[in-house]
Amino acid sequence: MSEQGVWTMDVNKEVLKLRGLAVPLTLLAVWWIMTNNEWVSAVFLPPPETVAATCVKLFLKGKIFVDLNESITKVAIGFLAGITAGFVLGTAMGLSSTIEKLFGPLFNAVRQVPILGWIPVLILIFGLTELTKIIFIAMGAFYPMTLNTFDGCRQLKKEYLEVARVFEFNRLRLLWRFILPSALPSILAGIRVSMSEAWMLVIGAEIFFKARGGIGDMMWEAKTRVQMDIVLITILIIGVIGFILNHAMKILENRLLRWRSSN
Amino acid sequence: MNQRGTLDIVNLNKTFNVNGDTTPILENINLKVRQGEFVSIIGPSGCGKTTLLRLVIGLENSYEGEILLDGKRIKGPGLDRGVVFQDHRLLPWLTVERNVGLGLEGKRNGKGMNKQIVQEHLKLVGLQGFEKVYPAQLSGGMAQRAAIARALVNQPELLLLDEPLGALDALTRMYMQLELEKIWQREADVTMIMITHDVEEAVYLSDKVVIMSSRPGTIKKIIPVELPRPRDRASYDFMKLKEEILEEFQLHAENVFSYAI
Repeated sequence: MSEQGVWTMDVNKEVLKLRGLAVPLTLLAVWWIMTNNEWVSAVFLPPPETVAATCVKLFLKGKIFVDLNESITKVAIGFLAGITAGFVLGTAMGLSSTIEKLFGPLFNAVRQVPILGWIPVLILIFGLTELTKIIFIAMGAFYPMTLNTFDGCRQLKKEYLEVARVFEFNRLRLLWRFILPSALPSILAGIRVSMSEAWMLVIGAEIFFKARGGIGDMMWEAKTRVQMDIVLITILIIGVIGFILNHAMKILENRLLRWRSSN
Repeated sequence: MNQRGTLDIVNLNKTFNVNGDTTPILENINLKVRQGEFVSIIGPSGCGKTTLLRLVIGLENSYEGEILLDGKRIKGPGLDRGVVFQDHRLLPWLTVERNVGLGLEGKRNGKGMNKQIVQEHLKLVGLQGFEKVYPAQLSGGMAQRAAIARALVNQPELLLLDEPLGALDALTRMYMQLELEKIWQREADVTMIMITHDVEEAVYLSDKVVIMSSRPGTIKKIIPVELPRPRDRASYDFMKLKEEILEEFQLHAENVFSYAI
């Protein structure tokens, strides 16, 4: 009879894995009931089946892939630029207290300005160009990456520094073997936060900087034409892609930080 | 040059400056350690024994007097001295194999050669088969074995052990003492200096036991241990020596032997 007990436990585990779907499914049901009974106007909230049909149509038409490609390319460039700069500044401030004293106060003052607050400045300097959007995204990725890398580089315990001294490690090997690996959990967390920041900002960039093309532009256009179904689809796509990016980073983190677990 | 691994400490004084006050930590320390000798330094907490070891390691720099390794003054850490800390201090992000090979990385031995040296040392401490394991997956005793292997990989003249077994449970500890003696016998050229709190451990392993007293730290007595190896913890001579050392700390029970016999 113990076998059955084990079997029951397995089922429970499988069920537990799916419990994250319970709330979304309930919401979907509520949505369906509300729209099909015409409790709300279809202009404000089209029924789920209409949204699904529009979604299929959009993907068949194929323009959405062009838009997605547009947005993802921008994010990729801005994100890479932002985390590279953040990594360099974070590591430099983490390693050298002189650099930290020189740049730290300025960095901490500047990062108090919300990213959105830079929009007028960016438009006045760079105009409504692709570069403006990429800089905007890069700034969003830059701050969390810098902070996390800086924190991470300060993680190394004094005890390990003594080990490095005992083995006569030079600075480069100290950085490579000791400081960066001990900073890696922080750095990866920084990359993950920067990535979702960059992905969120691309929508803002496309709306505020009057893009032609891109998923944010598609959303804004649909709003102008009062096409709630397309607005909802873009929201869904943005959410799903963000979720996938975050999840992919988590998997990468688990792989790279295997040494932390003790199983 | 053929006197590799000889340590001479002559008239050593060490002070710490705390808030402008100069506190003597070590006073007039004189100690000679021959090549291949196993020496234990034992003393109450705060007697400066760890500071003494850190001076020999080279992690503490300013001192008066002389600390000479093969006649040369010690100025900083070096690969001629291997160190085992109380906490194993293996790098958690490297496998056992790479941790043990840490000291070989800068050397141009060639990859195959380095791998072979690492293998030999893993065998020496009984950790074959654990090459790809991360430190978090090791038990305390195994981690400390890896730390010993790591310290020996560069073939140091001097192995400095700072309470290496202090964090282990009593049984693992006795087992590791056995292992440590085996390692010391196989690496016959290596001089070993160990800090310990444990009188029995000191008597079991050492050729001589250095007893320190505190405030300021001075050497109170050096007791040679001439018992044949491997030593029998339950033998009369062993117990007698143990008692003699405990007496230095005024810790022995009166007439314990007359009751026992």
